[in-house]
Amino acid sequence: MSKSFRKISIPALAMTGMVLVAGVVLASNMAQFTLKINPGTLAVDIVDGTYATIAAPAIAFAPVTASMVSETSTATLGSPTQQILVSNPDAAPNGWTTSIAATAAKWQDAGNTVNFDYKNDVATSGQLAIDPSVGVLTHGKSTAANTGVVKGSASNFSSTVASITLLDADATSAKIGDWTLQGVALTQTIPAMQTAADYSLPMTISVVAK
Amino acid sequence: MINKRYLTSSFLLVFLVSSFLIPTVKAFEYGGFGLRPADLENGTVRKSDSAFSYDIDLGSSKRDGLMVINNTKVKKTFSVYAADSVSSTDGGFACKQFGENKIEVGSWIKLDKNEVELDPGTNEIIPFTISIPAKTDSGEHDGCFLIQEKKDDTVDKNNKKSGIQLSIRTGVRVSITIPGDLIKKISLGKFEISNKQDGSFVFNSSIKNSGNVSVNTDVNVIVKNILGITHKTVGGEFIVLRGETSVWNFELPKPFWGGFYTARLVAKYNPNIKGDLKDESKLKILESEKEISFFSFPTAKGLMFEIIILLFITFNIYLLSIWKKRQNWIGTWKKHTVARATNIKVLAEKYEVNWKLLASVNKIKAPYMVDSKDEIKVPDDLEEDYNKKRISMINKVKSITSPKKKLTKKKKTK
Repeated sequence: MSKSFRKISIPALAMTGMVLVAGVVLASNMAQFTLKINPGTLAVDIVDGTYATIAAPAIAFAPVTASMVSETSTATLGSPTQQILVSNPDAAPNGWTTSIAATAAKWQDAGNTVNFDYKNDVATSGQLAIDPSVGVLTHGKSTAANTGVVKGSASNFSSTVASITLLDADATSAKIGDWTLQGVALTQTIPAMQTAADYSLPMTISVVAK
Repeated sequence: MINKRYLTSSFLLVFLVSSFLIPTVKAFEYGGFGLRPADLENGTVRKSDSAFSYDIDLGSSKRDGLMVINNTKVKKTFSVYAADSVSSTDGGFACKQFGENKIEVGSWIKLDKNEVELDPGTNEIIPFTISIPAKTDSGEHDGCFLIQEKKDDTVDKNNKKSGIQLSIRTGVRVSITIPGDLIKKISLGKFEISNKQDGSFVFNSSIKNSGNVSVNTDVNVIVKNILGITHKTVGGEFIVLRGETSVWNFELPKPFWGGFYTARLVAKYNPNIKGDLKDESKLKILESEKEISFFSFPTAKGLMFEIIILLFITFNIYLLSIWKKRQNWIGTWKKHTVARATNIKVLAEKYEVNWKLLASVNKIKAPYMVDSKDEIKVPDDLEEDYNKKRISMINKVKSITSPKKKLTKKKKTK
């Protein structure tokens, strides 16, 4: 057998052997690979730095001392350990809106005895202002661009404003992607002579496919 | 003898080919829970739709399905409900809360189930019926389907802390159009500017929908600089719901260069009932009559660049003025006939001018020699000075010599 023939025959033999083996496998017991991909859904979540859901997310405001004049207390919605995550796996091609709204009429103490407003038209009587524009919007696990996704502007709850937009995505936004939002500024004006207590306000963050 | 190299290459080839035969699966994982329009007949998600949109007559009803999806890693119980829509700030689309009164779409929808328990990675289709009342306005009515995790209230109460307790929900828009006299009309509202502490500007703009269908609108504030060139366009595509006034606070970052700017609010929409923004030839353009003029200081970097540019321009103007003066001066130079062949440097020294300039004006090239009777341009003033000097010199010489002559003449006369 010539040298050159041997050079060609070794890889050829190996290939033929492999194809034969593969052929036998195919003929006798063809493997059935099944893979179910569940439909994805537009979703919003509050997650930590590792994108794990936080069971009971909460925002703590800076403590304020009872005063004869109205005071303001500030807080931040979204942090590296408690960030807002919106994910869209091609479930909202027309865009989506992420907004925040209160689910109670007022700030209430634990015993439901005293309360104060968050949506009064007069700021000093109790008003909650939210400024998403100062927040940091970035992509999450995906590398989707921020094109078409805009942060809401500074607004306050009032008799005519029941919902404040945090993020709004139009039809030009990435069809598949996820985005995180951190550092949204919250400012609550507390009415003068408000009774000292621990107050809480339940709020809901919604994402709606348009 | 079989070469080792051929054995290695053979095995490598086998490995490469076999690696192509092994099936590989790659998937993007997205968690969360939510809703999708479903195909009731096939029991699948309706891929063509991301939201619900119907044309239903007065007094009629429609049966359809909603897929509830749990893509989280835990078993969850969800509350699924319909609600009326509400405008959110910045033209966002939002839904009323679970506890709020349902007046329109929220009250027209009846879900077969309002509570679903789903294992991780599973879904379920809930059928529903939309029943349009016999008496209601024609046009578009918006609402939502929403899904929210059901939590144990007693646990929540025990864990109640001060501050804001957050919960999340996901929704899908439901748009129902009741046939009749459909009007698609919007008008521009307020258009104002305000400054922010960081030097940026906010354009408070609004659009009123006076029709009875929602309008997809391309709303923009076009900012132009003093030269009429568009500096920036801020805005986007928004849905203005029927009867609502959508308000936006479009932010304009502090212009880098600063200066005087003008801004105008422009809105585009398709007046055809079923038309959309893609059909650009049929779009109606609304432009604010009011044009806002404003001044902005430059950013710190912009100011630094501007100072550098200003210094550069000033220096160039200074150089230009010097050049112009020199050109004017060169224009006054007179022609001079060279008496005898010489080097240009000698002539330059004679006329007190830079030899390079003299060479350049007279287009004399290396080795920079001029022949006798060559005509060259030389500084006029210096030529005059030179001539004056020469004349004065001659006069001096004459004055020294002439008395002697006179004397001699006198002597002669004597």
